[in-house]
Amino acid sequence: MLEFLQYFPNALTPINLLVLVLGTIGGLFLGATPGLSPTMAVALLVPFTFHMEPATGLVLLGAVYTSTVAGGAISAILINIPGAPANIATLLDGHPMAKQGQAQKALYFCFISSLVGGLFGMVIMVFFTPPLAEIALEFGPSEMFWVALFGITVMAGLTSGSVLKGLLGGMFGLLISVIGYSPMLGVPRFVFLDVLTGGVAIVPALIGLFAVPQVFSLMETAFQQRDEVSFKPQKGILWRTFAENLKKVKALSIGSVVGTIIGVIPGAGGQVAGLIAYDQVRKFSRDPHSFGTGNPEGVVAAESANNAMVGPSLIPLLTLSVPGSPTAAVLLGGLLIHGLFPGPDLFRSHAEVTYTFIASLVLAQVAMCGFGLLMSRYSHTVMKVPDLEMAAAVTVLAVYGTFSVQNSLDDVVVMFGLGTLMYLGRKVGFSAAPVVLGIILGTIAEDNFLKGKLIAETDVGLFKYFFTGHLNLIIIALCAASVGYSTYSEVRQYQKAKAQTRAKEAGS
Amino acid sequence: MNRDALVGLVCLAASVVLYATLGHIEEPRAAAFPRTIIVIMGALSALLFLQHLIFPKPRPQQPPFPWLRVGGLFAIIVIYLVVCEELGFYLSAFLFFLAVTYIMGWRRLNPKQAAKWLMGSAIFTGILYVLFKVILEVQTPRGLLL
Repeated sequence: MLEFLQYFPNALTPINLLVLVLGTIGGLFLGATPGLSPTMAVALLVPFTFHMEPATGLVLLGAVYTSTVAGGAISAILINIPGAPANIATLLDGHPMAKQGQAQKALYFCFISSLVGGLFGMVIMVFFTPPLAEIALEFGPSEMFWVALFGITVMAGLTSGSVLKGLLGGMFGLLISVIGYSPMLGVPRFVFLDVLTGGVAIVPALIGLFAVPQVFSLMETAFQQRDEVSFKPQKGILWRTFAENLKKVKALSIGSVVGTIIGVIPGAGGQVAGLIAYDQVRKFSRDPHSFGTGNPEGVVAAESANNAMVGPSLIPLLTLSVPGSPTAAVLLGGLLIHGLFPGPDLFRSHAEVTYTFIASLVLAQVAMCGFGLLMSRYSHTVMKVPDLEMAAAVTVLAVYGTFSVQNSLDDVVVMFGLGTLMYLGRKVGFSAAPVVLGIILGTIAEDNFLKGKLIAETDVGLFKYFFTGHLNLIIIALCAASVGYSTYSEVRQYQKAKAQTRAKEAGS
Repeated sequence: MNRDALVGLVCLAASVVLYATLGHIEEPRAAAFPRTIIVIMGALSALLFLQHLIFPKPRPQQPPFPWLRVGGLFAIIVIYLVVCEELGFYLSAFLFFLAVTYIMGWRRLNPKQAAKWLMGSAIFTGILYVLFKVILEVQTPRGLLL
């Protein structure tokens, strides 16, 4: 906590504040634009941080991460399309409110609740991250290998509808990470084309996997009609809404606590946080039937939860390299590119950069609320950005972002090839997040696998080294639990769908 | 055969092919990690195939896939990447923006529309130029002009 206060002024330097403000406004805009996910926005911005100091670059990525999550509520409320998966629960009551002529009020509720939840999550993050990072000191090669696999299992289970497809995606990512010359042994692997000789760098992979499928999806939906509502800005309702929002203590508390807990669970993300908080607030409500018809408590719960998730989702990331959400996985890529490796070293050798980043996340919550409230009056204009123009702009930025890594068009070819493959993969139920995590954690997994193998062969043997010891067993149990839980959820969903089909058939 | 079972089968075949390509690596340690991953991939693929063969999931009706639009965009992007090296980043970005917003938008050509269309692309390219060349001073793909 002392270090946090010591480095807090670093986040207030003119350049960091400028980047924070621009990142927040840009993030709100990108979040509000239907079809552009926060993960893609952060992935597209990673190359821009190459030319910045590490702390400033991370301030930009953190501000965009924070504000895109909240900005996604704008399109959820106004046109019934969540800007991000985290805003699915917001539209359940936000859009009905907008239909009743309360769009501006719903947006105010959204940003004020996001601020409350976001600050709560940040407090938890500031207090718990440094001590948890110390635990990572106990980890040897076998534990680090299992941690990398744990990250993939949680992401695989929670971001894809099928556990097996999620795990396959993660394994595919691990394979992509070994393309090129082996860093330890100098042997070429899977170099089928000249462009693959140098391997697949993180940035082209991030941009390709998140931006290219999005561009094709924008083209698919380019001519679809949207369920838009009329928006008439009202004057003088801000302070009334502010007071009304703060009186909804129950929804704010449940949202913030649920968001924080879900945020710490690796891979769960804002979508799960928003939906669970919404469900809990409805269950505790005296009038549960009003939910889904424009009850502001639904918006408050969902938005406080998905922003409370932002800070805690970085706890497993900064301590163990295991991201708490798909966007946090991209942030991990941003950290590694600047030479920052998660763990205790981050808080000792790079304390200045790390604490400046954390401090900027707190400021980003305040900036998100301030600019979000200001933008609310004009947010309906953001909805009018045509999909075709957006698709063209994202493609050009993706090409620049990829080229800028090594000034190589080969990287651009790799980016586009991977992106096209991912688009086809999405069509058959694969998700980009486990693949990305596989690519990012692949090097950590292989290095530690080989180190562990060397130690094991000269010491206790492979099985004993990797499968015994209390830390190994705990992480293996966590891997099994995450796969087990996801499998259980999938089986339940399958049974539910089957029962519904049977009921339909019986009815007809 | 159901679609997901077919996906499992394709992944299984890909795993076998990838495993075979590791055969030529003489240093066993370099192949150990990828080989382990491919074996796990193969097992997961087989499980996916069996899962969907035994428990097929009902698929909701999907709207027809816009092949022409998505295929057209794919072709335009490929052409863009090819000409990017020849024409340079800014000129090719200008032409790409025109192609995507006009051709893919299936708009009719009249003088007013054409002026609007050219103006939009020029403004977009101008913003890129100011951002990358003037403010950030970064290198972009160079070609004939810029």
